[in-house]
This record gives sequence, structure tokens and C-alpha cells, in this order.
Amino acid sequence: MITLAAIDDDRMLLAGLRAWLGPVGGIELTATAATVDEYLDVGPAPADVVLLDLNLRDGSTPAANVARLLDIGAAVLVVSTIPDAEHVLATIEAGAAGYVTKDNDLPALVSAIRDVAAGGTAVSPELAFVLSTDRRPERPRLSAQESLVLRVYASGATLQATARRAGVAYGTAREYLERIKRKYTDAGRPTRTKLDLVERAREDRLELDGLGPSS
Amino acid sequence: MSPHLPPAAAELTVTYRAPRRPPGAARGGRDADPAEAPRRTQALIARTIAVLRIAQVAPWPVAVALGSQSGIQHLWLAGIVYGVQTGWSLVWATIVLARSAIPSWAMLIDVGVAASCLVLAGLACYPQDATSWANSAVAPAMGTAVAAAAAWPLIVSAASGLLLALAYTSGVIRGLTLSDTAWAATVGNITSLLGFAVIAGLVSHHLMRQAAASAAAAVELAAARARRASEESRDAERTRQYRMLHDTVLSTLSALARGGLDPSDPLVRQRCAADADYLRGLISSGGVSAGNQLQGELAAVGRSQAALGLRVHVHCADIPPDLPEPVIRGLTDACREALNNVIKHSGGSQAWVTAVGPDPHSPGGPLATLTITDRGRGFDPARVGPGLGMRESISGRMSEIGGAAQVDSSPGQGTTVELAWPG
Repeated sequence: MITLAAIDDDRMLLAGLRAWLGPVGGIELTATAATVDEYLDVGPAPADVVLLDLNLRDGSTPAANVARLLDIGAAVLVVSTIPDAEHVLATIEAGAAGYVTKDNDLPALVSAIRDVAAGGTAVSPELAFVLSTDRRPERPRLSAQESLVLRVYASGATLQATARRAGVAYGTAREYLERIKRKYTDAGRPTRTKLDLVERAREDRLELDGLGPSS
Repeated sequence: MSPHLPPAAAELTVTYRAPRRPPGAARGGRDADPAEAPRRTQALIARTIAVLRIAQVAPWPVAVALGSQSGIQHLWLAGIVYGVQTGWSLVWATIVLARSAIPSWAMLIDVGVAASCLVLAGLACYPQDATSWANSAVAPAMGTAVAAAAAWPLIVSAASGLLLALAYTSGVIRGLTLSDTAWAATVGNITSLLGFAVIAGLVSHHLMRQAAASAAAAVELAAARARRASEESRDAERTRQYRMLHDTVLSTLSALARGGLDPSDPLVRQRCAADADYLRGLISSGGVSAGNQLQGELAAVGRSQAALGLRVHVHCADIPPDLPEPVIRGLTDACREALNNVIKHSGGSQAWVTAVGPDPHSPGGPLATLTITDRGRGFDPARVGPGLGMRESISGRMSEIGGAAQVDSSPGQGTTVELAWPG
């Protein structure tokens, strides 16, 4: 059984998700919250996988949210209505296990949750598109083969078709996508440490001000 | 799936390529482009002077035949000088006519030939007749001075004019002490030589300045028109998007808000999903794109296919905002046709449309690349071959705008159509 938590500031969407996942076996929605603070406060046993809305309206940064959830040992699957490239890249670099848009059908979402729960990654076509159109100078270097696999997969082709067009085996294409995702996570590690420090500093300051970290 | 797949991508990719022809290139070459005015004026001046040069070598034999022969002391020398100058003038005129311009090296040789001929032609005459029609080099030298004034900037053409005047003087100097009329004739000839050159220089430089000014104005005007057109097309695109939003998202939401509709009705859900896909398609992952025409068109095409039961996911990034109108239309039409094929042949219910701008890592590549992908039943390109839709509606449209279309498919693995412009 995979335990799942969902953090989204749209209550209607959370209710819909609960109804949606109800009949799905093997996945249990154990907690919902509007913010990461709220989720960490309620804190029963942390869920295996946290579905995190990309842009929460409490002023928190997406990357910092991912970092805080990773700290308690959850795997983070980021979801959003629109693949806002800048923040999607930031959450992947912050160590999120995957990203999907909210327009995916139930089987696609369930399969992404299962992949992430098993310690893998969820590279959706929309995430592949964001990665393949990343033009920042600091983007991780990809080999020609990796770029090709990423580009074909980003066009919506199945992994099988992607593998054929790149002239590699199915497992190799999958391995490439995971390796690309890992390159981003590795590239984000220094930033993550910095984010951590900023977050710590913010908490420390709040404590000094006598407000407590989050209450 | 075999783990040892051959690199089969090349074999299984059917390619239709059209010769590259930018839109608008088919228009007649005779249409006057104002930006070309300086080049055309220069060509006109060069051709006029070339004709003048040919005309200027004609009178001497006539004058000699009509009696000027009596002034020639060494007929052989006069003949050689005339022959050399005439031959060179014809070569020079041919070069200038062929290039529609006066090359500097040809001008330099021309001045050298004219100066030498002025000296020698003067010496070939009796001293008292060197300033008369017996001297064959004067008329062609005027042509040379005129050409130099048109071809070169002021200082260089003034120097070459002076050189020619000096050469003339040294050719006729023996006769100057003999009579006052020789003096007057010399001054008159030098005045003509330099005077024509000054007038030619003034006229041709004036014409060139005018042409440059009109070219600059034309370029300015074209830029202003393009700016205006791009603003208008952006406005038109916004208006179109508002109308489309009104007809889709807004009416769906209003109908739901009024109540009475069951949100779990598959038809209602299908319509909501189509509207959401349309909105999502309007927003590119790479930031602001409001009014990007191609993106708006693609989202609208996706939305219209939704009515036929196909969910279309549109992803756009970095599409140049200034793609030519015919290119946007061609890409949109080809995309619509590819989606029609998905509905007709794939058996799937979803399609992915991606559109990306130029890849900064491969300069010279396409400015826009579109893919239309489905995960349906696919086909074997080696056996099936392109259908009419692919051949005419997709490849044909792409070649009309100077783009290229490729299709990739394999049984059971869906189909991808890739459109590139320019291709």
C-alpha cells in the first residue's frame, strides 16, 4: 500500500482527487493540506509520496517546498495546471521525483505515483518538453543521444517509439530519461544547500522574533 | 522488445523534402525594389558612360578621311595609338556593360592608357596641328575623365583629370610656341576635358545621393509597414482569441454556473477538458506569449479537433513572434491535416502538438519546428506509403512555404509528423 498526501490550495481539487483515487487499489490518500506548513504541522505518519501543487498561494517558493518535504523523507511528485518552465525546472533541481500536469488521465497519474513511490522518477512528456526547451546557460550538458531521446519523448511519442527512433533498446531509452532527470537533480544540489540555509535563516529569524517557526 | 535494436530510425523515416524557396521569392524580378535604387542608378550611369566611350572613338577616322590627315606627321604612330585606344575602349566598355559597374582596376588602366595615348597622339601630329582633329586621343580621353569622375570620389577623380590635362599638354607642347591659336585651342580642349568631367561627377554623385536617400526612405517605410502589420496581426490574434474564449471556455463555465447541467456527464466533461486544453495551449511553458499568432492558431486547431473527439495537448516554447503570415497559415493548415489523419487512422483519442523556436545550439536550423504525435496503431511506412493527405495537404503545403515535412511511424507505435520551416 502506498500512502499519499496531496498539498494544494484548491479545496475543490483536493475533494475531486479523493473521489478520483477512491476506487484505485494500492494507493491511499492519507492527508490533504493547503500549504506545506499545514501538512508538516498536522503530521501523522508522513506519506510515502506527496503530490505538491507547483504554485501555492501562501508566498512559499516551489523549490523550498520540495526541499522541506524531502527533509521528512517523502518522495515529491509536483503537479500543476500549466507547466511554468522556470518553476518546474527549479523543483526538479530541488530534488522532486517527477512532474505531471493536472490534465493527465487517472491511469497516467496513478502510474506516475507508483513509479515515484518505488524510488523511481516520473518524466512525463510535459516535463520532457520543459527540459528539452531549457535554454538557460547553466543547464546540465546532455549527450547527443540523451538530447534526441528527450526531444522525441517530449513530442508525445511513447517510450517504445522514442527508443526506436533513437535506435536504442526500450530499457536504454528509459535509462536515458532517468539519467537526464538525475543530471538536473545533481546540478541543483549546491542551490539546494543554499535554499536550505535561507530557509533555516528565515526560521531562526522568526524564532528570534518570538513568533515560532510555524504555529 | 529486443534489446539489440538496430539504429533503424533512418530506414523507417519517410522524408518528403521540397526545394527551399522563401515565400515571396516567386514574385517577378522586374518589380522595382526601392532599396535597390543605388545599385540600379550605378548600373545606369556605368552603362551610359560605356556607350559614350564607344561613340567617342568613332569620329576620328571620319575626320581623318575628311582631310585632317594633313595634320598627321607620323601616320603609323597615330594609327597605333588610335588602334590601341579604340581596342582598349571596347574592352573597357564590355567589362563595364557586363558588370553594370566600373571596377577600380579597369578605371586605373583606362587613365593610364588615355594619358599615354594623349602624349603619343600629340607627338604623332605636326606641332601646329596637335590641337586639331588630327589628335585622335582627345575625345576618348574626355570619356575617360567623365568615367573617372563618376566612378571615383572627388580627390581621386580630380587627380586623374589633372594627369590627363598634363599628358595632353606634354603631347601638344611643341606647337604652343608657334601660334596663339594653339594656346587658345589647348586651353579650350583642357577646359572641355575637365569641364565635362566636373559636370559628369556632379550629376552622377547627385543621382547616387538621391538613390541612397530614396533607398533609405524605402527601407524605413518597409520597416514601418512591417511594424504596423505585426501590431495589427497581434491585435487581430487577440481579438480572435477573445472571441474563441467567449465561444468555448466562457460559455461552458456560464452554462455550468447556471446549474441544471450534470458535471459528471461525459459530454460535459469532454467539453470542459477540451476548453482546458485550449487554455493550456494558449500559455507556453516559456513565459509570456499573449498574442503569439502561431500559438493561438495551434490552440484553436486543437480545440476544433476536440469537437471530433480528439484531445489535443499543445505545448509551445520560444516561437518567434515575427513569422511571416503565409508561414503561420501553412504550418497551421498542415497541422490541422495531420490531426485529421490522427482521427481517421490512428484509432487513438489523444494527440500531442509541440512547437518550438530556433535551437540556439544549431544556428541555421529551422526557425519553427512542429510535431504532431499520436500513440495510436501506427503503420509501416515501407509498405503503406504516403496517403493523399500526407502528400498533398501536408508536404504540399509545407513546400509552398519553403518548409519540409517528415513522417515517422511503425506498427503499434503511433505516428509523428514533423514540420520544419524553413526546411
